[in-house]
Amino acid sequence: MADTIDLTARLTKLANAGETYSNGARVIARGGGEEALAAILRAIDDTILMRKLTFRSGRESSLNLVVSGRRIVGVSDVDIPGQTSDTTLLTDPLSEEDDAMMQALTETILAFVQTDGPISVLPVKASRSGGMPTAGLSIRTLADAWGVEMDATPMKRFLRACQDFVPAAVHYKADILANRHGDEATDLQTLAEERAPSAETAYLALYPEQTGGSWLINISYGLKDARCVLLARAGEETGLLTCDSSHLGKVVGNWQRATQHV
Amino acid sequence: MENLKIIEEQVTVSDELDSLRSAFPDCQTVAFADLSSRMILKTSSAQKTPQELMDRLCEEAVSIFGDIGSNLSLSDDTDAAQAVVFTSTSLKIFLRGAQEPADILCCVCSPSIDVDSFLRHAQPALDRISQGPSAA
Repeated sequence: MADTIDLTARLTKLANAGETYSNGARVIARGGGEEALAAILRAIDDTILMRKLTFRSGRESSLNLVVSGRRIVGVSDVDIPGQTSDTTLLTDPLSEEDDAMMQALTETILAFVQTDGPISVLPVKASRSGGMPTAGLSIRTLADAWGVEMDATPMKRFLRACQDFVPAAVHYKADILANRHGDEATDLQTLAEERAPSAETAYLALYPEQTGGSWLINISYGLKDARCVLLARAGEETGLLTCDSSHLGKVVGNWQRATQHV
Repeated sequence: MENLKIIEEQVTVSDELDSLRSAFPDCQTVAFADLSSRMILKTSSAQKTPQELMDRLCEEAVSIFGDIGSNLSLSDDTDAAQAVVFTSTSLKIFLRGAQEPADILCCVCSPSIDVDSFLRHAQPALDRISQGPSAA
């Protein structure tokens, strides 16, 4: 069995040059939170044949899902230190109409993605007898239950991850305002439309190789109780936000996760 | 005696830069520069860095604290004090002296660096450099 796993991991790695692996398992997210939830859903969505997907979070937590036809059809071993959800409810058949089971599964998954470490997945062949072909939980059901927007752009994911602690943010798609948030959004909108384009032009004159790419620039004004203004660009989308300088590390972390390439 | 003082100051600046870099292995290069003369005065780097790259780093600081900083400000009466430029491959941090705004630190780091922690150490280091050897 160990040889099979090793061989599967090696072949998969050869077939997917550029992806990151840890102990033979494919790294699907560099940290936890919504990015990790979306990555888990993508892994399920990529699985047509019946497989047991072993997800690992950091060194301690593991979660085994039996997946077939892009649906979770079973939950096997769950090992998440400190989790409080009732995993005895996670028994076959999994049905979205079973509220208690859905609640337990959501709590289990949320406990699993509470990590700063990478999350990896290793698929192995699985077989099950019986069961209806349509049984199990679709990723759309799971995305709704877990509050994940599967097709959100990196910029949207970044701004949403920051919205709890930034006083204001504006989001533009192809120079058209897509969303705004916070009391100071009007000031930011004025800045975005009147002066930020000059800042972007000056920035791209410095770093022309980043034209069309993803980048983030933060400027802190004053040193005591400093406020920051951040200009983020990902393809055709622009984000402008303010934050207290004490949140700068969180903002940069959110940007890394939203634009990560794993 | 004057020569001795100059040597002492240079040693202090170098020590501050080396100390900052050794505390943060994800920081590859730290350069102390004078914004008014647009010159890099002292560097500490993991590898020998060509002067052209150092000059370029200084140009970046000039533009970020100048055009870019003023165009992104929500208030006309506050100058840019710190800047973080983050791309998929690198992270650059620029700081200005609290008392001597022409004194700047230009830092080239890996994207994985702990930005908060680095800023908490780098700003006091720059301010000690600005105040001279007696404060360091």
